[in-house]
Amino acid sequence: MKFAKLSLAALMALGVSAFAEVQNIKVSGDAKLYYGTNDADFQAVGIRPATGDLFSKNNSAGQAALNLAVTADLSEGAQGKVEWTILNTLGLENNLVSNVWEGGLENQWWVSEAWIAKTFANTTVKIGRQSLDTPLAFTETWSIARNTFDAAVVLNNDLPDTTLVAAWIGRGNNAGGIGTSSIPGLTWGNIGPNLGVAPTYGNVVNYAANGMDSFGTFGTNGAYALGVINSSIENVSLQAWYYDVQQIARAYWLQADVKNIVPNLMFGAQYANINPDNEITPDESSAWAVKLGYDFNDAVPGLKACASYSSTDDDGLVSVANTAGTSSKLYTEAWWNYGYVGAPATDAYNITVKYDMKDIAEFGAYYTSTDQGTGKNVVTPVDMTEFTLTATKSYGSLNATLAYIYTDADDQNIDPTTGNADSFNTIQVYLTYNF
Amino acid sequence: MKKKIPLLLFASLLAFSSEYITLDNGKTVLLKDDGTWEEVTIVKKGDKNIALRKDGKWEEIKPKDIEAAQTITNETSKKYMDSKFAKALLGEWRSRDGNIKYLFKKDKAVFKKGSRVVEGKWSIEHIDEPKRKIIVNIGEDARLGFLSFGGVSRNLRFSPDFKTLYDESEKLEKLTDIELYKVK
Repeated sequence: MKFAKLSLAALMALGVSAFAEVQNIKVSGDAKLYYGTNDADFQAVGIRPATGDLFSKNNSAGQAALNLAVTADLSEGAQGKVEWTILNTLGLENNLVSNVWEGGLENQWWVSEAWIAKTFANTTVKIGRQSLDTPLAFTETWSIARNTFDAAVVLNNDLPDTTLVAAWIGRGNNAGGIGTSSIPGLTWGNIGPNLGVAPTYGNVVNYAANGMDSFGTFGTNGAYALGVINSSIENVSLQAWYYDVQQIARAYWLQADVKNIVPNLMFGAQYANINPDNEITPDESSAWAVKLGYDFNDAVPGLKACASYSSTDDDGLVSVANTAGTSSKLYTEAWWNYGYVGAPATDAYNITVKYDMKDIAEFGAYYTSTDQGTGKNVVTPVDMTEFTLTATKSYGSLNATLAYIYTDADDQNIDPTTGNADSFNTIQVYLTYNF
Repeated sequence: MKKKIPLLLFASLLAFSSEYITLDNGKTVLLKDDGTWEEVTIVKKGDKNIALRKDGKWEEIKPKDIEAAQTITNETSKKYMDSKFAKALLGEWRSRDGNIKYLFKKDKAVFKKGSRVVEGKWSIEHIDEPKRKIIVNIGEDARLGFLSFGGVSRNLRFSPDFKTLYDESEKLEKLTDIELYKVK
């Protein structure tokens, strides 16, 4: 909390000193109410035993969140932001749900962002608590709260059509750590205050009961990242990233995305490698993925489709996924069931179709299938199939998403008597009011 | 005097006929002839615009019948709204991946990022001409001096030929230049 207070104080001090030069201060935010329920017979959503019934209290999770942000455009192109995140159950646990999406039952609040950014010629420096979006260390945005980092980022655009990125990550409030291992109980990175706490429905951020500091050291001693993003070739975007998670692993990520060389067609290729320190394991993890997409806009406005395939190395130990969470930036990542496509010895494919039906709603259909073989560190392979349908509609400032998810995974909803996994259905409702 | 009476009658009729006005926040209201107003929903049926009233009635209206409310903008915005930057912004802009969309009309703007949609009146907070940078404020609910409540503030930068827009706000989150191209 000390760091949060320091960041806040620094920002406020700068804001006050530049008060006369303030061009714009905006107060905004959003309020969220998320709910999820499933009909699993054996897999509990919370601490109570599963009932197998949709909408039953034991099979449901829900929570409310408020994000309140103050952003400022200061003098000479400087910008700053402070954001508070507040989580509350609204008492849903008494009647409707048996788990929360993030944290726990108590009221939680924390400073989720507190940064200041300044541009000098072609170089931008951003320092403080912030979201990050890099292939192997990023903020997960799918749950009711998102993880952020105490970090410093430098962006440079001196080279034409090229962005150079240098980042240092000191701390984070992510509940998941680097590459969830296929060996039970072995997780890396920041597990912080959540250690020993039962996982929540989303499990993206650490528990911050009553304002408790939920930020911990990222990895063992922080991490460094370097990135180059180039778009010199028309319609082609190239990315190369290198990571050094101190005393834990080094990693790199390469990606090329090509668009419209054939009209409306897009193609992408990815390769990633994670090399853990030898004291942890001598086994490197690697993955490659390709995707092919088509925009049917000329024939059916708003319709897009994409198919992707990925494969991970058989000998790896850790997953090719977010070092600060559970999901992966591999093209094949599922809509809801994270942690499968990037696992060692796994082949995966994904088919995604999105349709923006003008003035009606946005619809999505996502099919993901993973097939894990036996590998050097995989004793019991796990296969997973997910099929998801979504509908999203905005009513003025209110955004509503309804999702249906079919899950069939070898490690979920296991009958304790037979040891066999059973498929189950999930329904989720996401309501967000922007103000 | 006799000529003036029909004129006054005609003027009164006009004054009390249905009037639809789009407010700064994007909502449309019907100004009723009894001095009250109610919010209506405008929907499209084919190429027709239909106004759905809360009393269960509906009415076909032409686009020209919907008047935009006179936006009361702040002093800064007034200074900039006739600039070449404001005019160059007008239209629809999209990022290459389609995730970010801006629609700037004379009296209304829409910002879309993923599933988040902000719409309503817009204003220009600041222009840095040498650097071709512009700060826009979209969907603001209220203002107190330089304090703005609601909506989003976005920092944008034009290319030298004004054909490409760079989203500087998004760059701070995505850590790379986000190019926006004009769709229409």
